[in-house]
Amino acid sequence: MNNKNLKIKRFFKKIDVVNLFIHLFFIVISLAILYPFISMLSVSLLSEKELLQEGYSVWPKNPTGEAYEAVFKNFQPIAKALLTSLMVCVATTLLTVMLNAMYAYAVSRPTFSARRIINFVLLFTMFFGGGASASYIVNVSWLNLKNNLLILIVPGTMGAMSVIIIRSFFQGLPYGLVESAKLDGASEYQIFFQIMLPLSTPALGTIAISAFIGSWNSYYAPMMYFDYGKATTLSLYLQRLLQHMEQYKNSASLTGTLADVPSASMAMAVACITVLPMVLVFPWFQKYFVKGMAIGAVKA
Amino acid sequence: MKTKALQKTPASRTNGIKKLQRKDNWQLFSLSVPGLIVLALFSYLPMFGIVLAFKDYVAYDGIFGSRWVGFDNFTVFFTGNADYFKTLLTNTVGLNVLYLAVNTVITIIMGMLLFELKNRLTIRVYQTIVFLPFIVSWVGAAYAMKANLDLNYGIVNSFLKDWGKDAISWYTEPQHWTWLLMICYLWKKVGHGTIVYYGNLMSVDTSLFEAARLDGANRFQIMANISWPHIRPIVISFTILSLGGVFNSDFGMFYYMTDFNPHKLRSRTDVIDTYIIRALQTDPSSIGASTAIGLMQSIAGFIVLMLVNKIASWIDEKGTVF
Amino acid sequence: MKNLKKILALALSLLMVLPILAGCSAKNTPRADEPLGKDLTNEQKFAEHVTLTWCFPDARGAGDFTEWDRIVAAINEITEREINATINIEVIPLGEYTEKMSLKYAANERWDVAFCGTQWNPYSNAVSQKVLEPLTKEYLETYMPETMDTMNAKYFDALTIGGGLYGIPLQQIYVRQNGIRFEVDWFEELNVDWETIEATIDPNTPLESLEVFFEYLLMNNYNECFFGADDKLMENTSSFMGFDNLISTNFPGAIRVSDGTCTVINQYETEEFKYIASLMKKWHDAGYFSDAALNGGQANSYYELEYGESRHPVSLEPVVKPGGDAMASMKAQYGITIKTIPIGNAVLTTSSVAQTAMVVSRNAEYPGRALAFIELLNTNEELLNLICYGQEGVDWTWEDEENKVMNLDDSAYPGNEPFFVGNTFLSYYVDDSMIGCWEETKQINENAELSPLYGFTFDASSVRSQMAAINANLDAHLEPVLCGMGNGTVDDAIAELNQYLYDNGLQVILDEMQRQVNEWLASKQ
Repeated sequence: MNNKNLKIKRFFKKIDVVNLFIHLFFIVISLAILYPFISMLSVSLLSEKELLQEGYSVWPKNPTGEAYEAVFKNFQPIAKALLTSLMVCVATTLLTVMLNAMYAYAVSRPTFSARRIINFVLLFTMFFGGGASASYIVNVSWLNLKNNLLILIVPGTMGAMSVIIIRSFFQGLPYGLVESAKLDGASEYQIFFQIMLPLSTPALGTIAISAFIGSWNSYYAPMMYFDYGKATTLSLYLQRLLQHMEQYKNSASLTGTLADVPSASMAMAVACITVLPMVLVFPWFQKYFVKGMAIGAVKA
Repeated sequence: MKTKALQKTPASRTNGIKKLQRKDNWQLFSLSVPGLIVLALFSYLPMFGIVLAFKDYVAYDGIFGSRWVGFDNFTVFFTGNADYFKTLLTNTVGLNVLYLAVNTVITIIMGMLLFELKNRLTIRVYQTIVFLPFIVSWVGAAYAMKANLDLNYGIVNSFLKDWGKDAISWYTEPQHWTWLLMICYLWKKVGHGTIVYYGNLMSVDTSLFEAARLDGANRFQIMANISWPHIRPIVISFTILSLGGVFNSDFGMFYYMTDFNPHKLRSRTDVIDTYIIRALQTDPSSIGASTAIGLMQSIAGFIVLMLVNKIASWIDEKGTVF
Repeated sequence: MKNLKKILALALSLLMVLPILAGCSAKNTPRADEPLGKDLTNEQKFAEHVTLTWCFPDARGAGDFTEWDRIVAAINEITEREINATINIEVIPLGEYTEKMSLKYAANERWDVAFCGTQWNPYSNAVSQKVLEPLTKEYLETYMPETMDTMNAKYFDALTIGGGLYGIPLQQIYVRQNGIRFEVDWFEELNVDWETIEATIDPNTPLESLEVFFEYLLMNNYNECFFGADDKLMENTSSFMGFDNLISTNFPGAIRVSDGTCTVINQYETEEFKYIASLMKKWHDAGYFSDAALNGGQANSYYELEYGESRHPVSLEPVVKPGGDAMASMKAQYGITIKTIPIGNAVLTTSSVAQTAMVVSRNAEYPGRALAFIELLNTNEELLNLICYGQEGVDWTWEDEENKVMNLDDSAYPGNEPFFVGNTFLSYYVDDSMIGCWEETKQINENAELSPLYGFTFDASSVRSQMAAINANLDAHLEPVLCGMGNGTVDDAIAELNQYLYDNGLQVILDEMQRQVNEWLASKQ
């Protein structure tokens, strides 16, 4: 009898009320955030007929995959574009993480005498820039980077916000780590690569995922710097597909086979296709910033 | 006795320390060199484009050969109606500050709450969901918005009609849009902030938490005394940086989400960036004017940044951006 | 370290200024020495083999065609045979055309032949950016003899800016005559045939005659909106009102075509505009169209259900052209037949002729050869139709060879619109209802009245701020008036519009326009 009571009491103690509350909070927010995605998916499955007769609804009565069919009609160019996008995104992410982390480390050390100016150099570029024309002239006429994949990878890597995120993380780490390493005679390189980097995976992971997504979604640079027919990224390919659809509908073309797909469904199909790979890639980045590293333990 | 000995460090020692520091300095500098090269080539080299703000650009003459026109390109704002200009400023600055404030509060709360959870799987699920909107472009999100708010076909209006109320013409009534756009802004940005602050919390020395718990502190005391001071610097830094952009706006949001900024909505949703796009739409060689306006926004924003940075240095030295 | 800081600061400052010190990049591709002379033979002119780059405006996705290489090879076979030149076709999707061309101008990239249209890489802009080769009489006579013989010289005047000619106008309908468009199926269902419709329209007050039809439709409870009202009213009626606009149909600043003195007026202050605006208000209040017109056109639910597209029994047409009805009907694809009645006068204005042109780069190494290529596009039937529709027998077959009607039913080649490529009058007919329309069009062009300002192009560079200020919210003040939904009475609404215009510097613009017009008129004497 006593045992039973004790067991019940222990059970109730285990249910952490605050935790429950937090979960509830996040569930509500998650539903609110997911709703537009459901809208996007449902619009992508909408047919023109239903749109005109019933209007939009939370889920179409007669969902149709026409929009997706239209997008994937030519599979080969999509596959090629996808491959290019992946290559560019991975390269950009790696470069971004490395460059920003190194820069952030230098800026985070209070003993670094050039710290303020290095910081300022970066900050200045965030506010003042030459504009697209000047960049184009520099990149194409002087650096000869037209039709070169490097132009998609290198220019956008340094970012003031990225550096601040990593810098803040470094500054938050217990100084004892650095101190003891220095007493052991470690060089700054060793401290950076062997201590700071491995411990900062949460911040690096954040930068990495932002860089990956930024590169994945960008279509302006690929459009500007590549002649038609040379490398295309997935987002540019899909953008052009959408524009073609619009022109098909408007032109006096008599072979308007795809005039039945409303542009809204096409655009949504494209948006869903763009989002899906990110959803798959994201968990891979997540392992870096889910709790797991006990900083205190490392210190010991 | 001991103190006296410590007061005077022998010269050899100071020289040694200085030498070590110099070596460290060069090592640190070399770490920043690759970044500096990228900045030099892709940000500083094209910086000459700024002079376009003062020139009448002719492609054949190039950026250097085009003739100087002084401040002619800057007069776009001052030619028109002064009252409208006031509306633009209010919208741009006011909305930026409002959205920033609300976003900051919400992301801090979410970041800290997320940190309290233990189950790895749920954490990952919440993080993924909350971050998803970051991936979608405004163009895509605009269609989802239209699907819900369209006058005749939208989901919201069909629900309203089912419940016997009148349909609302969302895209012609400006008063809704201040909070509608706030919802859009939060939807998109909240995920990023949450993950950044959550990640930042991971650099806390966990022994501090353990010690606090042993001393009998409850969850909220820990959050207030350990977690919050720990992420305060980065919150301040973010705020400073965002305020530096107070005269700029997320063009995509204001333009696409409102269905291309129709005139009925402009009293609440028109900002400097959308105004400029409309003003310069038929001017094919508008690069001078757009550079000029951009320059004004940058300078004004930079001044704000410096001011706020100074104020921040009085609150928390570590939070300053520069 | 202190030194380091100084070095760094210096280095970065230098970097920002370096480009200025380095000076302009080399602009000049060497200009080849091309033979010039009216009586040269082809062997003499085209002795050297040359490669030309053509910036191809891809409107329909021709560049994605799986057999695009075959088409390119066929094109080159013709050009090599005729002018000893290989064409490097640089495909640029239409949506990116303006952007890409302006980047090319900025970075001084190499190109030879390009297209200029009102919405894509505008001609006047390219001229003001000084990137186009001025075409001299010598070059034109040597390399474009056939075009110079067959095309009326007056068309070149429209592209003359500042005394120089920088482009070749592409031949198509030049006259922008407004019209009323009827979807006759609606009326046939009500037993009203086309002859009756035509007879009912009074040429003196064509728009008011439409009210008879609206009342008739209203009586028959047929559908919700009869008239396709939208914000493009100015585009659809400017010619009818008798204006020649200096900037665009929406932007204030025009002359009356009938006014030989070329007095620049604000068309929104005229009686003609008040008449149209009052009519719109009357029709809106009578219920012939609904408030949705203000939000980008309106739905016609009955029609949409049946045909999946919103259409209207009566609407306005900005440009009436022979064969145009056939094209529009086929575009509709749902068996809708369209007929148009022109209203107002047929007038040639600068902007109507300058809508599409082919231009040559100032950096072209062989400008003469480039002109010869443009001549081919203007005169060689085989080449034009190859580019626009594909190879005969492979991509399409003859439906009626004698009358030049094609059968495109099984065609997989997207092709291109003839007016982006060359002389539309050479393109084969797409449907037999179009037979003879090119001849008709040419006649319309030839017989049209010339506007007194024909040949004048306004240079807006000194009034940019005012134009920007007006453009920013022009639509907010203009569209309600155009759709008959302004505040208060028509007079009030128009007054509000004009108040806005003058508050934002319209007078400065009008004065500058008048000054340039007077200067131009004086120079013509």
